[in-house]
Parts: sequence; structure tokens; C-alpha cells
Amino acid sequence: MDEVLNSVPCGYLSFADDGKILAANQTLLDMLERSDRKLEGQHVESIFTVASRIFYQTHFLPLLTVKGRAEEIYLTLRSGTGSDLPVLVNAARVDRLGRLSNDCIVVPMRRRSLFEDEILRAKKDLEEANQAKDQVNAELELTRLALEKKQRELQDRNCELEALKERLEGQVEERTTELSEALEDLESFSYAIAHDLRGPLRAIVSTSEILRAETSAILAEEQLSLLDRQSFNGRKLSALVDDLLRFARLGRQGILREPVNVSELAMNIIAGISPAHGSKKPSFNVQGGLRVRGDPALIRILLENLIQNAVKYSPEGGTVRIGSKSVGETSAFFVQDTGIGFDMEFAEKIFQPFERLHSDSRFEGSGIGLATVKRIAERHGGAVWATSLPGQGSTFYFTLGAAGRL
Amino acid sequence: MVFAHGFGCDQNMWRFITPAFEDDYRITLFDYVGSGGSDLRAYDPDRYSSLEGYAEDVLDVCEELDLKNVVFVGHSVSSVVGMLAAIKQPERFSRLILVGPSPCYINEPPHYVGGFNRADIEELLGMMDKNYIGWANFLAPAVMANPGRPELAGELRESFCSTDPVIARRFAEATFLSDYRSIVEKVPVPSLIMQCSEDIIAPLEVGDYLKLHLPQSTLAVMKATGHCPHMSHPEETIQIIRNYLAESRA
Repeated sequence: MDEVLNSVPCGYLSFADDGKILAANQTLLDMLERSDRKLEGQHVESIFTVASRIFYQTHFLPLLTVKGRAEEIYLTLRSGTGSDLPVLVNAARVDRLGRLSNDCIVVPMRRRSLFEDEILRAKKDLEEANQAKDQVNAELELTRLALEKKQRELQDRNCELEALKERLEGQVEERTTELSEALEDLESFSYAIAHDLRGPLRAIVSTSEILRAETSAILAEEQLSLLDRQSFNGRKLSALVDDLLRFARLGRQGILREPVNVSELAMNIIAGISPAHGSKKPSFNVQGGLRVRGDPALIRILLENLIQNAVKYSPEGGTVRIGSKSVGETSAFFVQDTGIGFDMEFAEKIFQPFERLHSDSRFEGSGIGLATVKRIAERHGGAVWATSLPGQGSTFYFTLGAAGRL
Repeated sequence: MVFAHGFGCDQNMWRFITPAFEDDYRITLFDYVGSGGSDLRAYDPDRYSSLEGYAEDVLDVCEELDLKNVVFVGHSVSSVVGMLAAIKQPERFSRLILVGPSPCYINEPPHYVGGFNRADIEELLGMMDKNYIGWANFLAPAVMANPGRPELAGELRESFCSTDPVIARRFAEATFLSDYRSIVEKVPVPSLIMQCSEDIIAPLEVGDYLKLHLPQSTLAVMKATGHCPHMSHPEETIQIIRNYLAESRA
């Protein structure tokens, strides 16, 4: 072999079509760590790994045969020490003196091979990451679509609710107007009736009293007591009509907002009270400094009713206390007695007009009193309520609204 | 006569054989999708991950050209492809000629010798990843869509033995990791097994195995060595095929 070719810095190999090696240079032998052995005469597959033998049969050799050349073929060679050597091969088919031989040059590429491995690995990782990303994106897309769908559903629901709300508000307005009108009519009616009743009632009472005065000498005791009963009942009826009138009037008048000294007012009312015949007058305890902003006349009526009730339902006397205490987050006034009390079952019913719990004739009244109290409190923007223990007493609370507080 | 190339390279490998049969037969040559000059846009990784996909290619070609009484000549893995096609449409084929066939390449001790163990195949697959013969051509079909670059038209001709690493690797996997021994006995068409003397890819043991299990089969052991007798020993190849076909007609 030509000395240059033998020592050129790449492997040189030539083999025949049947695979027999015709020539190999020293560089190749050194590469394969077979310096001491000859390659000529051996089959070229003997220096290939198994994988390379397959590739040689399926790609390398056919390519050489059909095209006459092969370039950048990656193969692995088996070295004499048994390790694998990755190489790059360029081959050409030549006709040398009538014989076809395949000339190859062989360049080792250990480092390149490692580098390629890295690149291939990175490429594979990237593909996997992309696949995962695509999957996540697909899932996100599905989620997004589901979310959009939900959003649309919610919007539809909202629209429905809006429409419903409008309808309801419309209905409420209608109802409220109807109720207001009905109430106004009722109040006007009550007022008119009460007003028209007063005259005749006054006449009945006064004529009874005049008659009684003029006939006191002539009539017998029983007849005189008949007249007494007549005027008594007339006055009672009058009082009822007055109460009714006041109750009805409450719906029609505006309320004042002035400072009212509740303690003073209570004391004033107490001074004018006398218990029913046969009952003891209770002792009174009025907290000082009770103030509120409201309608003085109405508040007087409210207090009168509550205090009168307290006295009326404490036939044994006891103590009536008037003051204010904190109830939850606000404070309320109260009128408390130690009288006969009532069953809490009726705690709300008692504030309705004409609802009387005690048919006992000891307890007279028109049945309008508490209803009036409730109405006055509510016209002030407040409320009334009561607690009680039968046999031990009752406490009536009232507030006169946020505007009522000083 | 339909010629199906095997793993590696394309229909050009039959160029030394087909002229001998042109007078007597309508010759059909094709490339599987993913090989040779095929349109890579038709490559479907799922379809071509198993040999059944390749059998479909064969049947599609026969259907398209309305071929009857087909003498199917298949090299290497195409022998199994031919068997699969014949099982699916037996009426289409008259003979199967199998060049260097093997139904399974991996040994199954203690009895079956396929020629390789799994590690060898893994190594081969790694090698497929690192060979880029004609790699640029696989970009060409996509680039061809750009009419402003006519100079690219010439490159497609260099397609023999192209190994787009991804497609080649998948073909290698479909070929070398598969085991089709179970279908061998179902082949309904008579066949010729052309066994090379020293073929590491389809060793003699495999030829014997096929003779035993392939119904109506004839085994011809060739003087040719290596895996591509139709390239390395075309005369012997032509002779054996001619004789077989003559006997079949008789």
C-alpha cells in the first residue's frame, strides 16, 4: 500500500461485493486496536457490530450498489478489545482493473456521537414536553369552554332573575298602592264614622245627665240607677269613639319632631291616674333623664295607654317602673308592672285592635289602647313589643326609631 | 407481478430483476409511504407503526390498478406484508415469492432462532436515529409547495435509500420488534421461500421454520450470501423465480 494512504489520518478500507476485505490501512487497524492482526481476507462484517451489520445489509450496501456512492453513513465498529467505536463513513464504488471494489474512508466520531446523543435526548425531551403542553392546553381549552358555557348560563340566569325582580317590584308597587288606597279609604271611613258618632253620643250623655239631675227628687232609686247606667254607658261609648277617632287620625296627621322629656311626661301622667274602684294604686319608679325626639302629643297618648294598662292590670298594686335599657344593639323605653301578666303566646295579638285577652269585667277598656301605642311607635319609625310571665307581671318596650334618639 | 421493497431503500433495488419479467407480466413497482419518492404528507405514524398498515398500501395499489392474479414478490419484511395482504384478500393473489423472509427477528429461547436479541435491535434503532441519508429530501415535499423555487425539483430524484430518521426508525420498529409467527399458517396462497446462505437478517433457521409452518410453501436455498440476493446475485434470483413460476403453471 502507498505509504501516504497507509498513514493518512483517517481509516481506509476496501472490500469486494461479496464483503471480503481487500485492503485496510494502518490508521484503521490502530483505530480498531487490531494493530497486530491482518484484516485482508476477512469479511467486512467482522469489524461491524450486529446493528451495523443489519444497516450494512439494508442500507449501506444497496446504496453503494445502486448509486455507486454513500456519504455520511453512521456505523459502529467493533474494536479488538470488544468496545464499540462510532464512525462516519464515506464510500465509493470503483472499477479497479476490471474488478469492482468499494472504497471507504472511516472517521471516528466519539465526541460527536456523544454530542449527538445529547441533542437527540434534548429533542426527545422537548417533544415530550410539547406533547404534555399540548395536552394541558387541550384540557385548558375544554375547561375554558366549559367555563364560558357556565358563564353564559349564569348570565341567562341573571337576566331571568332581573326580569323576575322587575316583575315582582312592579307587583309590590301595585299592591302597595292598592293597600295605601284601601288604608286611606278605611281611615277616612273610620274618621267619618267616629266623627259622626260623637255628636249623637254627646247628646245622649248630656241628656241623660240633665234628666237625672232634674228627676233626682221624683224617681225611685232603681230608676235613678237606670239613668246612671245610661250615662255611664254613653260616656263609655264616647270614650271608645274618641279612641277610635284618635286612632284613625294617627294615620292622617304628620308627626312632629321635638325634644320630649319622657321622665317628666310620665310623672305628669302618673299624677293624674287613679286605679279602678277596689284596686290598690301601685307605687311608681320613673328613671330620670329619659329624653327622646318625637311628637309630644302622640308620645303622651302612648305613655298614657301603657301606664294606664300597667295600673289596670295590677289590682294588687305592686310596682310600676318606667325607664330605658339596652336591648341588643339599641336601647328601648319600657313600662314594667308586677301585675297579672299574660300568656306569651299572645304577645303579638295584644297589639291588634279589639283583641282583648281578659274578658274579666274588672278590666275595662276599649281594646284600642295597645293598637294605638303600636301605631304611634311605628309612625315614629320605631316599634313596640312585650314580654310577660303570668302572675308575675309584664314589660312593654317601645322605641321611637333612629330619628327618635337624641 | 408486484414488487415490494423491504426495510431500507426503495423500489430501485429491483432494477436488476424486473427486466427479465417484463415480457410475460405487467410489472408494478411502488414505494411504501415514508420510503423512496412517496408523498410524505400521506405518512401516518399510527398506520405505519405496524405491518398491517403496509399491507394496506399493497392492497390499495392492487385496488387502484385493478390487479388480478398477482404474483407478489416481497423482500425481507415485505414477505410478512405480502402474507398479511394475502390473508386479507386471498382472491387477489396467485403466488407469493418471498426473498429473505422472516416472521420474527428476535430470538425466543429455547426453540426459536430469529437471529437477534433485543439489545441488538435497540442498537439498530439508535443507529437509525443517527443516519440522515437524503434527510433534506424529506423537507422537499413541503418546500415543493413553494412554486417560487423550481431548483428544488431536482433534489427529489436523490431519494433512493433516504432515511428520514423519524420515519426510518418507525419502520425499523414495525419491522424488527414485531412477531408475526402466528399468522404464518393462515396464509392461503402458495409461496416460494428464497433463503440466502449466509444472511444474518434471515438466517437458515428461519427459512426452515417457515418451510415447516407456511402451508403450500417451497424452500429454495440460494448460493447467494447476504440479505439482498436480488441486488448482489440477480441472475440466480431471476433463475429461481422463473423456474418456480414455470412449475406453478404446469
